[in-house]
Amino acid sequence: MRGVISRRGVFAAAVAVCPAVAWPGATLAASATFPDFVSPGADKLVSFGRDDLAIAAYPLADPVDQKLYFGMDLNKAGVLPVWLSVSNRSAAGRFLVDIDDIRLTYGQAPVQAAERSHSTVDDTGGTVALNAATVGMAAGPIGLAVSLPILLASGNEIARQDDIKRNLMVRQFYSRTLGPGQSATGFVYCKHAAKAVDLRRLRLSVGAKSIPAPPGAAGLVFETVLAPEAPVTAHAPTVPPAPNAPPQS
Amino acid sequence: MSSRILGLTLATAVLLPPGLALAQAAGPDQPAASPAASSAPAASASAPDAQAPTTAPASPTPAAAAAPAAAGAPIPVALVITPELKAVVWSHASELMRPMYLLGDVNNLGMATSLTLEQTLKAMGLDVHVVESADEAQKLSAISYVLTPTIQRFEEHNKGLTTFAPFEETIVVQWKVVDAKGNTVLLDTALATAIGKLGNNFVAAKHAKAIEMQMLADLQDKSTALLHPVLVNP
Repeated sequence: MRGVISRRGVFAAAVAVCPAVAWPGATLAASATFPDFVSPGADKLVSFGRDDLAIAAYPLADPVDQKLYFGMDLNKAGVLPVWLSVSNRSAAGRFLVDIDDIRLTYGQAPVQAAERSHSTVDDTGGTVALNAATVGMAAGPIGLAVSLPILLASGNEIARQDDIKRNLMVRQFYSRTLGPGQSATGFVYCKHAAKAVDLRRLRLSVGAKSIPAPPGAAGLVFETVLAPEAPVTAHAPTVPPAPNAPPQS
Repeated sequence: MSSRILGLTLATAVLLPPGLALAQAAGPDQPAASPAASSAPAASASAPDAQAPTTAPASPTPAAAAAPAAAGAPIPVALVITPELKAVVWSHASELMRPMYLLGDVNNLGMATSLTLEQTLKAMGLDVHVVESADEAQKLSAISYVLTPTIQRFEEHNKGLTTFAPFEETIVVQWKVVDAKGNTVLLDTALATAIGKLGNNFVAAKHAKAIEMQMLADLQDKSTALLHPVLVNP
């Protein structure tokens, strides 16, 4: 050996450095991509609404499907994604769908306003999520699952975890104004503490308003049970029903 | 044997920094709006079922939409920028605990967003009056519309373990537009995103700012596409 660094040492160091150079550009840059969610067949959809405003929902309860579209088994994280589609089929009317008017209830548990907060502009999201979890399946805080502390076990899944969180956010259903012929789709996330969700007890309520919407207008409320076999389609044209009210036919 | 270990250690120390710099130079640092993800929720809508054909929103192109309003007096609008919106930051941690790329004004997302939203409306040729609440907007005379933006979500996502991996910023802004009679005429959402690479500690803050600016430019385009048909060409 001559000097501080031997020729063999330089070679060994180069061998050690080369993977490090290639690593950030190759292995770490490879992020997970998830396929686009395709609308399920009509037989699987829970369709409700009315002629000029068609609404369809599909609870994505299958862990295999959840892994495919969200990268992980969301059931284990206490989250049930519910795919929602709202279509304006009128010739000239316009509707707005506010995410604040979308509610999920489970059984007889009422919706609590605090649990429906979708604000994640600060660090309170985790607290709200925790509150929702403590009441079991009581409420479906729309979009709240995005801020849930979804943790993957192994260290090499940290990047994928980020992708999963981003995917949850991008695929969420957001407030929309629908012109004639337009539709909006997305997921609403139901936070729950149960291991197995009984879809027959899970009720989805979607509110919509015609535009222009006068101040204080009650708007339309459509409600259904999220079980495909449940022949329940509710329509309350003016006054939103109480969370525990039975569906109207 | 110990000298060989010493040599290996020193060689690694000498070669590693240039190697990482090379890795950084190899990838594009310039942020770019992700084509797949930059679409607003409206554009990502898919057909709900076979009987419901989805029609793409007839929104103008950003360039066309950004054109000023028709000749004549500009439409007076009130833009409600709440203190809560302006106070939004990427991280609430102290500067000591914050990552390098969030030091300085790049952390003040709400302030940058509010300026962008105001600029968006001015670029549409509107007479913009910035207020802090809807009540304050009601006190203004001759206001045609009251616009209330709210930040629904904002997130940073690193697609790798190091700062040399693609870094993505996303913001979701909901627009509510109320006319002079108090009728809600629009409630819609713009999802904007941009992707880039932070690089090493010496350039991370600059690159993070560039990514944020790109994201806000995307937000401006998306917001213009939503608002222009309602405000300028109702």
